[in-house]
Amino acid sequence: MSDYILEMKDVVFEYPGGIRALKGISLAIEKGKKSVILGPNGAGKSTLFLHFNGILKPKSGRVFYQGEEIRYSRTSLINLRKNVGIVFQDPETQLFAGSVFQEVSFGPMNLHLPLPEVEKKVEESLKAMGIEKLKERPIHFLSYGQKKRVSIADVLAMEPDVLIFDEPTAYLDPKHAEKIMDILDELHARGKQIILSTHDVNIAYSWADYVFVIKDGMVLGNGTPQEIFQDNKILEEADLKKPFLLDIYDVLREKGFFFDRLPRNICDLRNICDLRRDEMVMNSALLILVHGSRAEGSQKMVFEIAEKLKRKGEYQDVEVAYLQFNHPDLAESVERLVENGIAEIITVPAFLFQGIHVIKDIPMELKKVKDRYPKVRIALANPIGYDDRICDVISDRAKGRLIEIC
Amino acid sequence: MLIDNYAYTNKLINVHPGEKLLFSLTSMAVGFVPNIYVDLVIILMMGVVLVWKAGIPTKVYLKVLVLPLSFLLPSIFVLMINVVSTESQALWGFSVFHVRVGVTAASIKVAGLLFLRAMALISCLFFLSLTTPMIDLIMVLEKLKVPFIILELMQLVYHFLFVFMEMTYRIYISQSSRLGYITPKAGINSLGRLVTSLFIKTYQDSESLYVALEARGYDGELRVLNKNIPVSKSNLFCILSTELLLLLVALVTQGGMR
Ligand SMILES: Nc1ncnc2c1ncn2[C@@H]1O[C@H](COP(=O)(O)OP(=O)(O)O)[C@@H](O)[C@H]1O
Ligand SMILES: [Mg+2]
Repeated sequence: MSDYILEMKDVVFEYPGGIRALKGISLAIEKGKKSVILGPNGAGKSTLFLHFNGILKPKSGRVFYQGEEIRYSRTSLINLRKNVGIVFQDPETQLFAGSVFQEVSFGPMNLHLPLPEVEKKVEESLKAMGIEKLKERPIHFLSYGQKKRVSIADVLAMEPDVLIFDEPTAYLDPKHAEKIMDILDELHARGKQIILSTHDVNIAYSWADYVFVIKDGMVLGNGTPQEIFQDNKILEEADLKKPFLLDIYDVLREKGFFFDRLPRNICDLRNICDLRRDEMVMNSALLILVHGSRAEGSQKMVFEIAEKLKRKGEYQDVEVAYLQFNHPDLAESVERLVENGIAEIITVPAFLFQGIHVIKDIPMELKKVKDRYPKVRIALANPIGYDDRICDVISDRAKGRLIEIC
Repeated sequence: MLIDNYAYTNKLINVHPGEKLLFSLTSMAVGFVPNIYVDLVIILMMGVVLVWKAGIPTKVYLKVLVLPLSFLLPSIFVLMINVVSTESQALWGFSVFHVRVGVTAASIKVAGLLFLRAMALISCLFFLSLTTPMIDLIMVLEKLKVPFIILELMQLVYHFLFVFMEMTYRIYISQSSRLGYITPKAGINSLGRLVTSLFIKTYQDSESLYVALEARGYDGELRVLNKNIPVSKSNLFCILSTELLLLLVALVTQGGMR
């Protein structure tokens, strides 16, 4: 058995009039993965979907379902359409019958099931969509959101293995859109294969297990959302923006929060943020990195600063290190901190003497230390020059640390 | 489309549509008996059933009844006026080019009879359309072995009626918000465009519908499952005895007038 539920190989499709909507698309949708086809308007998403249940036939190339090439004979098409259901973008043009019940019964009736069974399936799918009460309602009495639900029930009633949603949240307000996405999650949890198309990067980012980016009838890239949305080249090529969540993530990182992975959604973001905060208080140390010689006066001053910072109690430990010439040097100080069980070390380069240039080597040095203690999180804050409020500036900088050495 | 709304919300919605059709049709048949009392009783009966049994607000029903008056009254008026031979016959009259035209007792009688009968038949029809959704009606017709293609067409026409109304409305709003109907000339122009885009949109929509139907295994027949409402024997008995009573009224009053 194939690992791919649906697969396309070099599919080319032309609409009458020679409009080439698909220009050699190859993609494979893995079983069980929530897959998103992401692309701007006119990219060819709808056209692609119509190939998945044999409504359109490629000009060249092949389409596979469950590893078997789709044959376009009547019986195999019926079988395919039973297994692969499409919920179209606009419910207004998908619905035809008088009442909701009749509408939803259309699919199962076409499967020539016994009538009681048709009835059962209709009832079940209405219930799954939470619209049992609308059963006898005529279609033209329904709101747009209700019609959308009916159009999903339409397809559910045929009990397909694969459910394809063409822009399921188009024209819906955010609340209804969210509800639809919840429904998709529920269907996925019940073991259905879900594929959807969208031009909404936020939905694609937070919902998908796997994303295919298409534009102008071609696949620009595919991968996990984490991979795709950190690839600025693909995003730019496809005229897509960065997901809002990743923008927030970037801002938070700038402000000094740590993440060991990208957040999937707001909830996730909150969780992994909070976690870091707790650990930070418990397990962080501050390292003031001084550049320059260890002149008697300055040494005293630096250690005074460290004492003060320690008393502030924001960090479990505060150490001083000299980058060059003198003990204690960076590696030594880090070693001591690690031995005391510190898991995160924030380094603030402090150039307390005039005439010293910013040193490019600091990140390099830190990297070496990081290589030795891979488990310790080491971060580097912006360097500071001489300032009367040196203590406050150091602790501000430590909170707003910039670069995570990894 | 007020009528259609009540068809779905009235209290008789769960009565078998066949019964409602039977009641309406047999009452109409009885209404053809030339008897003014029967007609009156039918008009009253339909009103009472609609207001009490179906829960249609009296105001709404009266409003609906007024609709046909607009074309019924002029024709009745024309019927009342005849050429009269002798002055004495006419209750009221005038001369046009030496021809005496007037209203006679007989012409009033004929016009009145016709008016009442028309109203009786119309109220039977209103009963049906205010209590029975189109969908249910199509279902009964299916049971009566009306050819499938006709039923399918009825279904699609019914559905698309609303789709197009909505579409027309939207295009109209969009045009008039851009002052498309500010002058008669602009109006004609806009109307032309409205019709054109309606045609194009219709074509596109029917394409998409076809694709969507195909995706659900459409094979040339729009099969749907209809709800199953049991036929009520007591309702049938009621209907038949009512009609018999009406016939009895006709027999007793013997043609009505005089
Ligand atoms: N029925 C059609 N006839 C001709 N061209 C079409 C038709 N449907 C879509 N196209 C063209 O095919 C391309 C892809 O369209 P589509 O698959 O609808 O894109 P998407 O769903 O990603 O917005 C577009 O350039 C569009 O103009
Ligand atoms: Mg589309």
